[in-house]
Amino acid sequence: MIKKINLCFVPLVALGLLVWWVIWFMVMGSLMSLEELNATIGPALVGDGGQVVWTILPTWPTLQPLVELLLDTPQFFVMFWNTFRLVIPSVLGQLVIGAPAAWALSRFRFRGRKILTTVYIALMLMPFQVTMVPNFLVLDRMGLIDNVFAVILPFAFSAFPVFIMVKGFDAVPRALLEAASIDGAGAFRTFWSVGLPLGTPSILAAMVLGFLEVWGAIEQPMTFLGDPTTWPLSLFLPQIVAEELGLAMVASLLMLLPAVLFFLFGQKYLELGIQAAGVKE
Amino acid sequence: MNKTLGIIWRNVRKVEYILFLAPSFLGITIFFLLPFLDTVRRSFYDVRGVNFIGWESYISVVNNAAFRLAATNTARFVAICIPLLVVISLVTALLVRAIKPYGGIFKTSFLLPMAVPVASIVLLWQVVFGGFMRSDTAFWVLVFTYLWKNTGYNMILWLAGLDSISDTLYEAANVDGASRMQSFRYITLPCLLPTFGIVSILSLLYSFRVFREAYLVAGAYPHDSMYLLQHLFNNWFQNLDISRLSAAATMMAAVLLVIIILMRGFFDDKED
Amino acid sequence: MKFLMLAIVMVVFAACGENEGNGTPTASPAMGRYVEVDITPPNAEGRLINLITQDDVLLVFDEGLRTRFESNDMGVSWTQSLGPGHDNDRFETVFNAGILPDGRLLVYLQGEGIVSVEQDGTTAHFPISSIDEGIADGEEFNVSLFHVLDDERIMLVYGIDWIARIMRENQAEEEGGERAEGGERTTNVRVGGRFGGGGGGMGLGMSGITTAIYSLITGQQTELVSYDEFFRINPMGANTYGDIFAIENHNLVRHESNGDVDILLHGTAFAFGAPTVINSSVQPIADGFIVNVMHTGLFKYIWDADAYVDPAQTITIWSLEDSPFVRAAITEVWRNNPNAEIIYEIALGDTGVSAADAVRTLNTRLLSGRGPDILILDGTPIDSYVERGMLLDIFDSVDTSGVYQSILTPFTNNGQMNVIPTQFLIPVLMGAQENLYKTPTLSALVQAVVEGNPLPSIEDGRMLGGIPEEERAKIAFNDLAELFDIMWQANAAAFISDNQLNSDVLYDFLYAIEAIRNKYELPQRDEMMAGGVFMAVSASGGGRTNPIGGSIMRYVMQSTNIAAFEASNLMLLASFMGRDGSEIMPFPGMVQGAWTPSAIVGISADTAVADFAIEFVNTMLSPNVQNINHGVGLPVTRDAMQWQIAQINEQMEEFNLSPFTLNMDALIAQLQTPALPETTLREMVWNTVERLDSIEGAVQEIEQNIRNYLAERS
Repeated sequence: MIKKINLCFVPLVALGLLVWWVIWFMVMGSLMSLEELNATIGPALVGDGGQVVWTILPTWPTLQPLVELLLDTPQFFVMFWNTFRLVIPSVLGQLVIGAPAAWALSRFRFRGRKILTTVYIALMLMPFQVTMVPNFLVLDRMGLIDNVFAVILPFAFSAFPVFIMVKGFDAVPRALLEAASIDGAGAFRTFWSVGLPLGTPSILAAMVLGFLEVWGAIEQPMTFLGDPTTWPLSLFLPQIVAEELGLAMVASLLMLLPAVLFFLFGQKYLELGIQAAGVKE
Repeated sequence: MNKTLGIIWRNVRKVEYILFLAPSFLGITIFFLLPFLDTVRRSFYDVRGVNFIGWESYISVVNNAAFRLAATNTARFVAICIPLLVVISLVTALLVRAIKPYGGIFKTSFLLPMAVPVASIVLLWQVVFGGFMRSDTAFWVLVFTYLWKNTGYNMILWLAGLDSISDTLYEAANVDGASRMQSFRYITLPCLLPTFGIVSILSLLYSFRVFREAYLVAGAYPHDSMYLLQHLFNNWFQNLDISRLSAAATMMAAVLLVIIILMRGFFDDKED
Repeated sequence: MKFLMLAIVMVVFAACGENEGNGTPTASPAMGRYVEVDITPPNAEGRLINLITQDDVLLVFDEGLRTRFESNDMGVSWTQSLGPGHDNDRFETVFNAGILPDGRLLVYLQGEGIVSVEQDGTTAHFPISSIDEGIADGEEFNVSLFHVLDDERIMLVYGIDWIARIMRENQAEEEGGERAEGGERTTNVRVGGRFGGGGGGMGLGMSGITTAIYSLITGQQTELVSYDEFFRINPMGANTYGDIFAIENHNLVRHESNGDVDILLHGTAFAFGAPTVINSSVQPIADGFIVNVMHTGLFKYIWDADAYVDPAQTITIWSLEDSPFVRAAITEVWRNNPNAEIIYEIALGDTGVSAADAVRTLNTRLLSGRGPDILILDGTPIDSYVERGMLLDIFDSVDTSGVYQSILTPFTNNGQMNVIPTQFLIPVLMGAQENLYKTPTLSALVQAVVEGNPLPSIEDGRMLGGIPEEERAKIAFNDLAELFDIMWQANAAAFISDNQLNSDVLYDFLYAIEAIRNKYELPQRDEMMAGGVFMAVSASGGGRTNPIGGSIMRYVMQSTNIAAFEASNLMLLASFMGRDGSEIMPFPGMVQGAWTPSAIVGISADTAVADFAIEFVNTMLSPNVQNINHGVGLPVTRDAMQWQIAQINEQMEEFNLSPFTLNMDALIAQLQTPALPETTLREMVWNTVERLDSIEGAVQEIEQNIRNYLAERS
């Protein structure tokens, strides 16, 4: 038995290292002085064929890039706040709009349900560039261009969370619903008191995924928000990578942190939700 | 009177779903469906959307060498990635189950890449893979990126599927003298079929999203082997070639729709 | 369900934030706007200093404090009297002053520190502890703001005058004396409270800038103020609430003491925003601002509720990068159309988005009919815009009669013209005639470099003092990037013919770069080539400074035989061609008569204000705009070229220098092929060149990328 466990650990640890190494790289990179960064990874970025040297620990750990970013880069905070201004309403919109729709697609039997589900899935798969221009036209017609809602609304109405939640609601045992309908509960009460509580894991899973998606969004804010002062962090990062290696490492880390924290906080629900999605009666 | 009310009530009950669905459907229509239909319309018009040009763009797209390269690469990418991801995540799930008490740390580990924003990993990828981006290995770097990001998610899906298989089935097989391989072949795999459906659709979804990484790491004109449809879309947009972009997108949507319908026919039928 | 409650609270929270954050919507054209009034006192000469007393009297002193002008109605009427400097030259270096509650002036005098000045010119030392200590240590200062807050306090913004310091250090070295100590470092803290009074000014060449409040009674520092260190060379003034007003990036902005910054007036429409001017002060008044535009005049900006914006003259101009030339055109158009609203969108601005992202956003807007009216297309896929009918045909409407034919020809096609360059550059070599004769072709140039001397070492003292001709390196340029740029202009158009890549040309191009790169050990030794100095080279108007490239500097300092650069500045050419009989020849490339179009303008086909847009383009080609040398390009009209040359020769004569004799008409007549304006291809090749390992590999990689690039366009 012990032998078997050991064998299973080997590939898992190997795979796990691939992940942890990345996180390690980011943390260590942000503790390195600019000189050390330039000496270690600089050659690969400049691209003159130099060899990348990567040390496990920084020779002289320094908080200087972090301090520089936090104290001398006021736009960093503005963009951080901007990101939340986009993320929070988007994710809540997904919840408020997506959950009932998912419930309907999962629990009601009506004509066109399958077609509708297919449409949702198909639209979910469309790359952004395909509908960028018409999207702009629609948002422009609604007077939303350069307004944060031009980014928030399309995310809030996104098909992806609906898809995840449908799968979650599908897993709610029928017996419970039947019990509820025997009790004489209406559709709304059934949804509220049976669907939502039992679907919570997949709803939260959808929200975690939604958070991650909006948090990392690049094209939408860039296209629909003309005023750079309203841009989120995801647009800030690529631009400083080119300019300041030290700052880029720290900013990468800080960009990663909320996503990971939110993720760790939601991981339990995410797992439950993903599981709920994966299980059929 | 009571009877009339009852009929109205019953009819209301019948269409209640509309109330649940309406907000989402309205939004989907406005923000996604109509724009997409407009894209279809644009594929038959000139760039400024004024003059009707018929199938011209479609013909031009089909004959275009860049489109052929991109379509081939994309198909190849999807055809290689999805099976790889499905298998690797299933194996990982089985391994994690085998070490059950310690599985948590690995679940977290494998899910974590999903939370890493694209912009954060670009720098690292440039450093690590910079040298590989200029040869045929570029394609495999892309495959690796895709697997790295999405294995965890699919693994959890598989774990759920595995958990849902009742132990009594295995016990019965055990009693009948089935080997472990036989149990896997005749119990585990068939029971995982529904999970397979959702795993594949999500894998497909995420295979399109890997473009972001590709673009940020290797730019608009990457090595031939990883020149995908979205690179072409992006460059056509840059070059204001909207008619051909729309035509290519419409064709891609048609292919996707066929795939989805096939998949749904294959996996979802049993549910109703 | 607790979670849902939390969710709802968060929606409310986010919605509130939304209202707050969106407090500054884009102003819709409506009644009311700031108007500019010229309030320069008659007879005022030279640099002006303007002040406001506690009784709201506007005081102006002209250069050297010679004349005093006084106005009780904010510049409508003036009375004139003798100033403290009317009979002496003690105040010649004063460019800035403050005013005490009792009416005495405060100025900084070199070597003396801050002094108070009576009406009759008598001065008394005015103690300010840190400045006096600095002077005792041998420092010199610039004080860019004297702002008397009340009867007891004064706010000063000052820094160490490094120009004076360098001069002093040189002097000290010569005399074998000790070097001066560096300025003290201070940690900034915040300050609240109300301010009163007036004052304003400008600091140039300052370092270690300090903003602090001093006691008028003891001269001791009481508080340090924390404003961001934006004020290096920006003119500024303060109001009674402690906001500081400054002109930054051509706009009038307000810095609040909490660190917020707002743009109050966009400079494109006003005198202070013209690209060629230096502003020396900004002063808030009750209903607006007074801005002192150096050598131009004193202007008042007041809110006029009756003024209106003409919708037919509301126009948006888009360009990838900021251009002083475009700004000059905007200022000129606005002068001719006071009710116009001109919005200048600079896509790359300070945001650091990539050019590709900027173009994508522009395309989205153009396609949805919400694009800008005028496009400055440098760096964009111009051919796409033209081919797809996004731009108006301006052949009949724009007056191109004065434009050089060789500039015009490549942009006209069967009586159609959608874009026109309004500036241009020529990639050239500068050197003695006998040296230029030896490099008629690209391969000859490369051979000359390879067989020539290596770059001098940085330890070589002769780097600055001239190296014997036979020991000099062959060619100078700023760095690898600039060499690539110049060679790109002179070769890239030959890469592609009939939608096919010409691999031989590409190979020769890469080989040339590789050879020069290896010879000069680039990019490792890029810094050896780079570095220029800043120098005022404007032939007309204002005191704009322009950098002189490292290439010309190396050449002029006699460490190379030839300089390679893009000719964009006639004055610069004139200044250096007179030396050693230098000649100019087009950079030898595989393209015949290569030149670089610049400030390429087109009008959106969707514009609602076509007439005004045409007027704008015509203004870009008008003498008032073409005649000015902005240092970023040559004029495209022959008249402007001749005018600039005449101006230059006038100055040359004044300084007893040999006149500018280069036959520009002949040079321009040779121009045939405009360089590819598009940047996609350029970036593609540069990315490979930057990390060139082997030429074969590079050719292969670029070939493959260009194949896709071309295939997309076929």
